[in-house]
Amino acid sequence: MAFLHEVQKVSQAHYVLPKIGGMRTEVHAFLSDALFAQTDEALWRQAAQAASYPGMIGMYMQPDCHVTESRSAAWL
Amino acid sequence: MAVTEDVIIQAGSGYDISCGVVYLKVPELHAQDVADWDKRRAWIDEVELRVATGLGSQRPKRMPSVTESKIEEILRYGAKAIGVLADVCERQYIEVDEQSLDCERIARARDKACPQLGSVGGGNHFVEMQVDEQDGSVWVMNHCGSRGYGWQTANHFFYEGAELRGLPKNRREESWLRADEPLGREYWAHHNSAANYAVANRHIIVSGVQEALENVFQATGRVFYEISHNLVQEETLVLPDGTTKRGFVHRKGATRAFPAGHPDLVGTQWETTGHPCLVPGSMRDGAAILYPLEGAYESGCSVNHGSGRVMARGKAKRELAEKHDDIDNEMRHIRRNLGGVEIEGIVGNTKRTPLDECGHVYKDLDEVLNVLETEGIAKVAHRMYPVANIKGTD
Repeated sequence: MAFLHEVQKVSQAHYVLPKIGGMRTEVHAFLSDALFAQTDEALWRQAAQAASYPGMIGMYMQPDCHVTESRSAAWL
Repeated sequence: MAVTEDVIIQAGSGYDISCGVVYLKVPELHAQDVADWDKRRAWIDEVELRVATGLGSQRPKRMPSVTESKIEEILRYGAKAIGVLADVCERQYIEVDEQSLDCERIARARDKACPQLGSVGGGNHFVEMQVDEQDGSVWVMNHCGSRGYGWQTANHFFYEGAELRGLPKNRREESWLRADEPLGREYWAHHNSAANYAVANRHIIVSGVQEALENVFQATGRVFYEISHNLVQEETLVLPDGTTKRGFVHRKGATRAFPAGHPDLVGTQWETTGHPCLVPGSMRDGAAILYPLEGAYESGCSVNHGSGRVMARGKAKRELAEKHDDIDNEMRHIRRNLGGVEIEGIVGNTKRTPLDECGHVYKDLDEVLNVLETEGIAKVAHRMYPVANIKGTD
């Protein structure tokens, strides 16, 4: 399942990845167009994974987000 | 940043539990007082006599010693245990359930608590003198966390959580815990003790910085605010319909941003303004103080914690190696007009600029902050630029 192409722009610097697959909540990301252009599938996949945890009711990415160097890529 | 009900996700705090920053303002100093390179150098030397910038096992000679009983108090009462007032802390301390806290069970963590208290650690941790570009006021920022105590605590519960959830060890960072199960309660108690340790650590480092300011500049630094950016906190959630409920807010690499009127600010100094958000950028491009706006509710009452990395550490050391001389020169000769005073260079405590921490490996801070202002999440109140940087080294 691919996630990047599902992301929707909702306002000038606000993007949303809708709830798909095993996600329990949508992911809100605050990014300029330029910062959004720097994101990639790996970042959105990591976000979708995080949004799939039990008990999850809200997920928000800040403009300094980046894929972590953690081996398990469990979190942003 | 993630919000959950009844579940605590350990990766939401990570290994450096309650990593965060504290700002001192130095009202008696202006940009012209810190323009002199040699004076900034002398200040760095004085700080390093009082603050460990390594593992902490080699405690500088003027670093105050800490007793084991004081450590026990700090693990439970954080900044309160060392006399710091609540109004300058995001959380003066987080309550720890005594029934669930057993420090001796994680000896590797407990053994590090005493020797490392008052140390900055490595990586992107630092003590930095900065100047406000608008009015030339002088500030000092400290960025550090819970050191080995927090790391070992987190690591212990990643393994235990993985075992409980049936995850293989190489996926232990995906573990999660129910708040009401025994291991969840135990993790929560230990997590909060690490948070208390980190907050106290920052304030103890501040006292060393304050002494250095007095010795070199004959000026007094005052704590402005302290905040975490790697922490799970139980908070009041304000829902879109205006109702509230309690939940766990996981800010891994994010900073709390309660605007004016937030229920958890009632009765505090920040009730009518929102509390400050302290955001470091890079050792070249400085930092900012923000105040949350009403739009912060749209971002889960959170803002960023920094600029965001664009280049991993290993890649930076490889790919920037041939530009190292240029990067060192940039740090030595960069000129900025701060509060009407031209200041040249950023004095550092290392012989060469650490390539994995230089300005080239981070996003543009102003571009990142502009997103928050565009969406009405927060406004930039102070934009600071570094004039002296003390990097932690491990």
